[in-house]
Amino acid sequence: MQQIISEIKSISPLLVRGACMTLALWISASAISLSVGMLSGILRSKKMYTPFISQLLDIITFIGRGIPFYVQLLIAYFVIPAILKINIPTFILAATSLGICSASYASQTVKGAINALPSGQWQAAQALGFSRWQTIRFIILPQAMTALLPALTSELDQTLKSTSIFASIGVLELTRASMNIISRTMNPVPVYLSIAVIYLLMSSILNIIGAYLEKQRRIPL
Amino acid sequence: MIICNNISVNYNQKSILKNINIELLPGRITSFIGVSGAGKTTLLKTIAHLNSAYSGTITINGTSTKNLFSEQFAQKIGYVFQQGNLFPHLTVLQNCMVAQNYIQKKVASDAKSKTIQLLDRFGIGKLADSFPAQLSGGQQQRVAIVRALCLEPTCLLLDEPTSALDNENTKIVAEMLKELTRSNITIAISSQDMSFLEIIRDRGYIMSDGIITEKWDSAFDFPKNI
Repeated sequence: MQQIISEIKSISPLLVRGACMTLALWISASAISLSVGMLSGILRSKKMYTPFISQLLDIITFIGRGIPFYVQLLIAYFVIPAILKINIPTFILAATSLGICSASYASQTVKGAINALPSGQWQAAQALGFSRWQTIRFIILPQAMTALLPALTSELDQTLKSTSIFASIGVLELTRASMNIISRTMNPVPVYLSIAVIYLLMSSILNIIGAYLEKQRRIPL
Repeated sequence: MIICNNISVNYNQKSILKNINIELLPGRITSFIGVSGAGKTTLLKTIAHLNSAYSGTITINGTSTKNLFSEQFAQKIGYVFQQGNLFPHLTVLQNCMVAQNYIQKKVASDAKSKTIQLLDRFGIGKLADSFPAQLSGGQQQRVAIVRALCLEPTCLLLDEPTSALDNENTKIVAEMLKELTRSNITIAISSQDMSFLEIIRDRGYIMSDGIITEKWDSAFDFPKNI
């Protein structure tokens, strides 16, 4: 046991570096996922449906959800720079590809939550003089949030775990850092146990925040 | 005064309203009576611009409603839905203030004092901090009326306002509407609740299959066999 603890101490600087990179990727991808997913979900909902724009978003969402994230990442890493003949920094490429993939799922969740609200709410807002966008902002989204929060928390949780796939393209995040350490120490036990705890810790913080927000937004029934 | 000329509405190639000609007078309660499917709700929604697919003309004090923006419209015509349609995530006070804050851009303190004054006037001031789900059907309906009145409309349209209410609450809503006519507000209701209409007994129209079949102009002419 003491040996494991001392080994963890020796590898911790590299693990902290990896954890910081994971955190940065996760926050960036989550920001893209929430903003793009929210906007896309709103524009694809029944009452906001606009021909061409909504149809285009439907297709993008379909592709985003239909192709495994690993394949999307390989396309973003190898195919897009080759076609566009430009060098995109790996961090931007990784965060954007994960953000867009996650946004496809978030979009579907947002669309479903908005469509589930009774149409009487839209009509009541219209009768009070609200425009469609004002209705979304002040009436529909605050109500939809109650249903959205658990699903979006789960989506962001999934995004966190998906950052480990970046190990395959050489991004020095938590999983890649652990692989590097193991190739040096040849002792996987303390390393894998450590990163499992770190992922669990990050996930727990997200879930605690999510549960707090859910409690805050609960509508009395 | 609201005048509707030759209002027709078609939906899925079916004629819902056929050349309706009516007028709603200030300080009077105009009732629209008819069985389900007669076109009462469609007519009220058309007047309130909640249904924009219609032919014919609607004027409010001589001005065509087709040229009005939705926020201007809401300040001229208040609409109360059959189920109230209160916003469940907002308290009674917030429900009544939301349009004043974001549409009329009123100062929050002015909007609040006006709302509390109206809630007190109709005996529901104590409910200001309650959520809609915590209210009875009658209380919800009264809040919905106050919410519409907060925008100071010149006309108030109510779709089956007593359909889910007991006799006690029906009387309260009827008295509430009668009191409003003293402020010279134009009121129109659709209903098939005869106990409610007996209390109102002002003027109105009988509708059937999307047309006006009968009209009366005073309490004395209130139709006895409907």
